[in-house]
Parts: sequence; structure tokens; C-alpha cells
Amino acid sequence: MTALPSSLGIALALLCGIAAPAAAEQAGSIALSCPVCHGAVGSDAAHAPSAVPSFYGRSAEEIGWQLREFRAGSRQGSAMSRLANALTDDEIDALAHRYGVAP
Amino acid sequence: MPAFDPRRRRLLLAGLGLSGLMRSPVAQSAANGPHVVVIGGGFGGASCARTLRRLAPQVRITLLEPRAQFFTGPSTNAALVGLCAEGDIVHGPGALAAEGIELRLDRAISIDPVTRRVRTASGATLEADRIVLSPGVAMRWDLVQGLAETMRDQMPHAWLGDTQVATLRRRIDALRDGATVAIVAPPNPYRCPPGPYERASLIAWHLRRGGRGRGKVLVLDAKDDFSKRPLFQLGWDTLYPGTVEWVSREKGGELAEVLDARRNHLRLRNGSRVQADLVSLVPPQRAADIAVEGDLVDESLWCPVNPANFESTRHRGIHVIGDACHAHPMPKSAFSANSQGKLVALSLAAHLSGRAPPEARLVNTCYSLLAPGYAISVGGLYGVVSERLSTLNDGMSPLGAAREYRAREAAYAHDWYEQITRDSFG
Ligand SMILES: Cc1cc2nc3c(=O)[nH]c(=O)nc-3n(C[C@H](O)[C@H](O)[C@H](O)COP(=O)(O)OP(=O)(O)OC[C@H]3O[C@@H](n4cnc5c(N)ncnc54)[C@H](O)[C@@H]3O)c2cc1C
Repeated sequence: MTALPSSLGIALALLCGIAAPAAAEQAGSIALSCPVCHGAVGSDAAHAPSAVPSFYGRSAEEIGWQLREFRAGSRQGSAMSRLANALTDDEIDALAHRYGVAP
Repeated sequence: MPAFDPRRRRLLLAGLGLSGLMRSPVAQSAANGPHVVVIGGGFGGASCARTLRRLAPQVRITLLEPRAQFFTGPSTNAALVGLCAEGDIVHGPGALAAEGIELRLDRAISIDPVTRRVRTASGATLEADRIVLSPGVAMRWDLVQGLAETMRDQMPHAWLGDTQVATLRRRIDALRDGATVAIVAPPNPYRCPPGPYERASLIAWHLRRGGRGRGKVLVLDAKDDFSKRPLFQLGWDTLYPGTVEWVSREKGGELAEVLDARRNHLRLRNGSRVQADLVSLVPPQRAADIAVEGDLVDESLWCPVNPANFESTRHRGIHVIGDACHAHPMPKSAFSANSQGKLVALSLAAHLSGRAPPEARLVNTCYSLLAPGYAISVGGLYGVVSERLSTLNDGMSPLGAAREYRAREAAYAHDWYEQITRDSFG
């Protein structure tokens, strides 16, 4: 964030602020549960979980890929494997879009 | 072992005695919008109110909760054996007032389920367009012979986040070497299905700490099965062989009568008598009083809801979430309550802005700690299939996992607690 010119930073923040409710609704109720283990995105990276992988700085592509790995069983987690197993492709794409940052 | 945290404790004590209204400027800008009254500021109510605040700025939100802070259910068992400080498990909705939610430290004493008028202990009357109820559970003291509410401090359950947590902790601390502890586990459904077994595990850890090994933990059960049973039993055999004994209902483990609460003297269904040094008796449960008062429970004494948006099937415009509602197959957990609270916020926001209702997707994961560095988990994803709340997929930790896996889940459990309390209470 520090590398951004301040006006662009403010514009982005405004955009995110306005877009947040709509984006949250689009990704559906499942997206609202992610922060319960992984921490909220963007606001306070200092409070990211220390053992559970967080999304900070991950791109949408990477999040989508990881979720598909969990779903296929090629990545073994604990809680995440059980949840990913029942996700549809559309849900994975919506979650990746919701939590991924632009590369 | 972390020491007792006097700062948190002071906050707790201040919160317990505080009452009154905290109103913030943001809330006043929504003063003319629809009014949503949330009753209960625990995991379900707080997460619903916070999520709704973010999604629907035009809504006026009032949160009614008499306790600004309480001991959370999650991590209670760890605090009971000194694995964390009492102050570490004190949380509550106190900070929500600064987020544009009208927090009233007050208790709802009646709900008119037709007009949606709520009266409070301090004498206020609130007119609600929608009510969200997340009041948790109440104990049923009337189902066991010889059991009465007056015995609650003699055989503390520490299940409701009040001063009993400190009482039970002191009693555990004072146990002599070789003590026998009995945990009475209730029939289904009840708050936190793995809770009694996590408590048994951690008390076993406490009794055997520092080379002491003669103590005994009896789990006297009204059931023949319980959450994560194979994993708990494997853990007991591995960590505390011979210390934890589970007496199922089939084996007569169900409590038949309290003979003498002061002397920890019980009679079981199989006729045998138990004399323990300490009993933690977790009574059978039902939805909290206000749900009964508002005509929101059915004959099971839990609140039936439409799983698509957790609206009561008995009264329109009232949503019941968390432990008080009937949400089988989701367990009564903080994670479930938080997830249900967010679904309700999302569907209220969609409704108010004329958008299509969200599809219900609910999440739960429950970690149980069996020893420091040793945890197990169960969890799943839930949705509505043929109008019923259904498990889309679920599972638990593998039985054959290596010790590193249990250690990793213990670290996850710790993170989960930090994140869900921040997510629910700010
Ligand atoms: C020992 C133990 C361990 C647990 N471990 C876990 C765990 O590891 N993971 C997990 O997910 N869950 C765990 N839980 C379960 C968890 O605590 C509950 O499922 C969760 O608190 C339910 O949320 P709720 O909003 O329904 O109720 P609560 O969080 O209890 O909130 C209800 C609130 O409503 C308020 N209230 C009641 N009546 C009124 C009224 N008339 N007016 C206004 N306010 C009112 C109460 O004061 C209370 O604060 C555990 C519970 C226990 C006891």
C-alpha cells in the first residue's frame, strides 16, 4: 500500500468500501465464514493467524488453485479438506474473487 | 502457564455491573431506517449485528444484552485447568457500540411475537421490524430426581459463561492427589457436544501433571455415543491410560438421582453409587427463557426455523439462531452460531434492498483439546436440500494421524479462538 500514490490509494479504498457489501453478497454466506479461521482480509494483517494459512497477499488464481487442490485431495488439510470437498466450481471462483488480491 | 490477567478481569467486573445505553453517531444516521432488534450479544447475536451493520447502512440496529462481557464457552475447559488465564477468555459485545450498533446493556423480558414489540428489564419498549434472537440455552433442573438449581454451585457446570467458571476452576485446583472427578454429560441436544469429553481429557491432564497418576475421571453419560468418540477414546488410551472411564447409557451411566450434592454422592441408572471428590454436572438443556416466553419453541423446547434464513416457523419476522434454534445436523457451537448470524444478516440485507435471498451455506468446525499440543477436530459444510438443513460434507481428524497432526490442530484451535472472538466481538 505504501508504494501507491496517495490519491490512487484513497480511490481504491473508496471503491473497496463501496463494493464490499455487494461483493460479500455475491460470494454468498459461505464467504463470510472464512475469516473465522483465516482472519479478516486487508484491515489488520498484524492479526493474521500464525498457524492457519492466511489469505494476505494471495492472488485470486492462487486461492482458487489451492481450493481445487483441497477438493481433489491432492492437498491434505484438516478442516479445509472437509469444507472444500463440497464446494462447486462457481463457489470456488466466487471465493477466490472475493479474497484474492490483484497480482 | 500464563498468569491471571488483572486488566481483563477488571473489565469483566466493570462489565458485569454496568447497565445503560451506549449510542453512537452512526446509529443515529440510520434512525429512520427499518429497525432490527437483536436479542443476545453472544457469538450468534454479535456476529449477526456486526455483519448487518456492514451490509446495510440504512438499518437501525439495537442489540440487547445484559452482559458487556462474559467467559466464552470456547476455551473454558482450558481455563479450568490453568492452560490459559481466566482473563484470556473474557469477551463480549461491549465494543459494538462504537461500530454504529445501539448496544443496550439490558435484558429482554417479553416479546410480542405478532407486533414484534420487545419489553426490557429496565422498562423500555422497543418496536422492531425484525427480531433476531440468539439467547443461548437454559438448564433443565427438573428432569433428574433429587436435582435442583440450588445445587448449581455444589456441582458446577460452568456451561453458561458466568462466575461458575471461576468456582469450578478453584475446585479443580484444590483437588488432592488421587482424586475422583465425575462429569455428568447430558442427553442430546445440548450446547457444545464434545464439551464434556474435552473437559474430562483436560482434567485427566491436570490430575496426572507432574508425575501424579492416581486420579480418576468418570464420565457418566445419558448417551451411547458422542461427538468424535473414537478420537477421544484413542486419545484417552494414549495420553491417560486407565484414568478416564466413560460409562455409557447402555452400561447404566445415566444419572438416576442426586443423593447428596454436598457430598458429591450420586446414584446411576445401573443402581451403582458414585462418591466423587468433585462433580461437574451438566444438566439437560432447552432454549433460553426468552424464546419460551415469546412462543418460539415447540414441544422439544427448541425453536423450529426455516433453514433458508432461520426465520421462525411459528412467527414471521423473527429469526432464531445459535444454540436456541433447532438446526440439526449442525451442532450447537460458537462457529455454527456465528455462521447462522451471518446468513441472517445477509438475507435481511438482501430483503431490505429487494435483492434475491442468498443461498444458505453454513460452516462449522469444532476443535477439542485433549492435552497441550494435542487436539482433534470435526466439522462440515451445510446447506438446504429438499427444504431441510443438510450436511453437504463433513468429517473428523483421521484416527491414524501422527502426533504432529494433533499438534498442528492444537495450533489451529488456538488461532481459531483468536479469530472467532475478533470476528464476533471486534
Ligand atoms: C465448555 C464449553 C466449551 C465450548 N467449546 C466450544 C468450541 O470449542 N467451539 C465452538 O464453536 N463452540 C464451543 N462452545 C459452544 C459455544 O459457547 C456456544 O455454542 C455459543 O456460545 C452459542 O452462541 P449463542 O449466540 O447461541 O449463545 P451465547 O454465546 O451464549 O449468547 C447468548 C447471549 O444471550 C444473552 N441473553 C440471554 N437471554 C437474554 C435476554 N432475555 N435478553 C438479552 N440477552 C439475553 C446472554 O446473556 C448471552 O450472552 C463451548 C461451550 C462450552 C460450555
